[in-house]
Amino acid sequence: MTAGSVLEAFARVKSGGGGFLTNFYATPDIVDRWATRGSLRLLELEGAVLLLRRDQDFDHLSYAATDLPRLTEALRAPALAGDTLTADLIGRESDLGRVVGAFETAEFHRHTSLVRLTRMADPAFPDDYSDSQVVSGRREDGPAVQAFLARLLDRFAEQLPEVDEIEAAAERGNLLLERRGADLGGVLLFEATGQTAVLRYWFVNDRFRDQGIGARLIKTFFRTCRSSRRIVLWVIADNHDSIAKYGHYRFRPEGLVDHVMIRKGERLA
Amino acid sequence: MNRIEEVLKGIRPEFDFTKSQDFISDGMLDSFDVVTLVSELDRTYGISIEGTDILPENVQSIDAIRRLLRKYGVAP
Repeated sequence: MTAGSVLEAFARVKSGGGGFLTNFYATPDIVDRWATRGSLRLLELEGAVLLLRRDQDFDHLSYAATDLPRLTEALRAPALAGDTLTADLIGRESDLGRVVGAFETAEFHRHTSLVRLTRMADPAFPDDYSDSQVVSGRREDGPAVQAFLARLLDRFAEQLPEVDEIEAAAERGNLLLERRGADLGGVLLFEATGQTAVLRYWFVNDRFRDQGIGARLIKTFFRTCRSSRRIVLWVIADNHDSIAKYGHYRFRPEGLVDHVMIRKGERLA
Repeated sequence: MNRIEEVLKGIRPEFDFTKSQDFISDGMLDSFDVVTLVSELDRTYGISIEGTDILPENVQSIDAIRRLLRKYGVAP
């Protein structure tokens, strides 16, 4: 399967007339990376297409459909029976109710929800902030960083990065670390494109809490991304401690939510 | 402000879209925004942009969006 064949399948649904519902936002280069790994399955159905991307022992589901009944019917396709599936339904809360309902009709339930927070540039932030304890991660940190994140992330809601993604981030200077001997004290990984930076992961090792690691990491990140006009991130909606911490650093909800829907198959039920 | 700028401002009010020739590379629109933008253009101009036209290069600037709309018979 190629990225082109995936994109053409989604385009056929859009071109088929009627409406167009989707949760498929991946760019061609990302689809190409998935296709190269051989982790994709594509199901083309009447008025709908489903893309399944393998992740450990379950699949992430992306869809496009001409209308809700076609979507519900597609989600009940026999080819999906027995598989554990998750789907991210992203949008404004007011727009998502009917799609969430379609997934619930197909026996999915809401696993959790995330909210997107945005921080606009702070002209008062000092340009020369630096802290010698924060260092740039190296390529060879990839496996250790992935293992560190795997212990902390909700695997259904927060996608664990592949080692090669972490290595690439390190090469771009987008991986910040504090080391504590042979251990990682904290990790911050981000992406930056033009005027926007995306804070993907910011975690402190439980064993080294209350040592200022998180603050040093994020201030270094703000200095590194001082040319970004805005910074965005996703956080689990009921993680009030984290949201309060982000609020302290002037992140505010922008109104986008991600309802993570799940239908557990036989092996994980 | 013209209608295209209004649509863009409705999606990302924090940016000045008139100063960029590549909204994607400049970090002003992400992949989610692109899909939202196409839906908003459909709704605003009463058209249905084909799936094969939902490409970053078709919405990366105000001129590109204008060309895309012309293809659908809209004179923005």
